[in-house]
Parts: sequence; structure tokens; C-alpha cells
Amino acid sequence: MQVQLLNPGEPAKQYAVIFYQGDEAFSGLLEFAEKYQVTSAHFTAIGALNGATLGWFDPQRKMYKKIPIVGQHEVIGMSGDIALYQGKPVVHTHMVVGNPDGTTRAGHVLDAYVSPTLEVMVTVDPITMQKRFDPATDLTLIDPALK
Amino acid sequence: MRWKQIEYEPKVFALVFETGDEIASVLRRFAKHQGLGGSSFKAIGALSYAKLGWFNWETKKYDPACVLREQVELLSLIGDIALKDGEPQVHAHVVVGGSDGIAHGGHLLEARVRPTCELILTESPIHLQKKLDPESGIALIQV
Repeated sequence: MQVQLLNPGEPAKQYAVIFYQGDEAFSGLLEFAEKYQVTSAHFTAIGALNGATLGWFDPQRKMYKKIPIVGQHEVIGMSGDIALYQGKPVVHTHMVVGNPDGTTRAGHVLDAYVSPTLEVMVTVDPITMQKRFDPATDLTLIDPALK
Repeated sequence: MRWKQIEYEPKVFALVFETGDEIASVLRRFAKHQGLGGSSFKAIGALSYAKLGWFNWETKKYDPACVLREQVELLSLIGDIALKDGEPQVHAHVVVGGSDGIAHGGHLLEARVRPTCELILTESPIHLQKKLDPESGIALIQV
């Protein structure tokens, strides 16, 4: 385990990033991070979607197994973070989606098509979080030791 | 429900619900009383009753996805508060877990606390406004 201070006590910037019908939320969050030069953030979101691809990380294959979500679903909870890899923001987010009968499915978000809205509340911290490539998993992981 | 302000810039409140409190209505009253209009919150706890909704795109209404009349863990409650016609509107989603560990989730319609629910709410200085969206028939946050 490693720890990094992200905010020494300054007022943190808060953004409401609101998606509407037909928006793809994963690429939209990346676009937000690039446009607002976000280098360290965390967020939570609720809303609904019509069609998404979730992922389950297969450690054997070092790849995400795709979980297609077809049709209208509640986005019951989405949480994630934004950090920098090689100078570019990377969005990492997971969600739980609700079926019409209240049962749920969940996973790593690969794409999500919003319907009718997704309300993402973002807290941006002043100190950059850096990611490094992890050869054991082929993923980029946050490394608090990197400056 | 008891509450305490734990930070001032931005405003952060800790709300602690007690057995029998209904989360949605208590939160609406708190939002109105405090004049909240740009908040986000998350909570965990446990419930004795939950009524969850699922947005039906055809009817533009929330169908009751499930009603749970049993003790469940409140695994996650995430939501926000924005203004519609000057009145705070609470929007929240929940995931609950039963004794078998199976999760159910949906739009919060009703949730009765037993024995506690711990909610942390951050209020931004800039308020959010909601407007009726003719396509979906519900009020969406406009930015």
C-alpha cells in the first residue's frame, strides 16, 4: 500500500458534468478531463443508460471480458477516478446497473450510452496522480511514488 | 435524523439517520431547510424496507422495480440535489444486499432505516438548475 496527499487543505474544485440522451459517457469524461486539464480527480454518478459495455478483468488473459448491457437500465452507482499516464488523463470507472426487476449487474465501464441523463459530480484535487504501466497485469496503475 | 456540519468551504454535512427514518423524505426536508441547491452525497447503512424504481422509457415513469420488506444492507446510496422552480429536488440511487449477498438496486423511491444510515453531503457554492426535458418527460439538470 502507498499513500499520497492530494489536497493539503485548499478548497477543492467541484464540477457537475451532466450527460444527456445519446451521449457516450466514458469518452465524454475523458473529453472533460482533457478540456479542463484535470490531473487528479474522483467522482460519483447516477442516471440511466440505454446500452453499455462493462468489463470483467480476466487476470489469466490480462484483458477485460466484455459484458454487454442491452436496453434501458438505471445507473445505480458509478464511481471512478482520473489520473495521468504519460501526460494524458486516464479515466477509471466502475458502475452498477439496475435491471427492470431490481436485480443488478456491474463492472468496469468500457462504454455507456446515456438515456436520458447521467449526473457526474467530480471533485478535482490540486496534486497530480500519476499512473505507471504494470507488466504483471498490462494495466496502468496509480503510483503515489511517481511525481 | 441528527446532523452536523463538518466542513465550511465547501460546506460538508454528516447526516446520521436512525431506526424508522425514511431517507428520501428526511433528505428532502433537510435540503429545503438548509437551502441546498448544488449538492452531491453518498451513504451506507442498513434498511428494514426499500422500494426501488426503474425508469421506463416507454411510459416515462418509474416502475416499482422491487419492494424489499426485509433487513438489507444499504451497500451504496449515491445522489445529488438540484433546484427545480426554486425547490430542491433530491435524486438518489441505491444498491442493497440481502442475507444471501445478492444485490438489488434502483432509483430511490422509499427506504426505511434500521438501525443507521451514515450520509456525507457536500454542498457547492454554485447551485444547479433542473428543467423539464420534453423527450424523457422528467426534469434534468441544465448546465
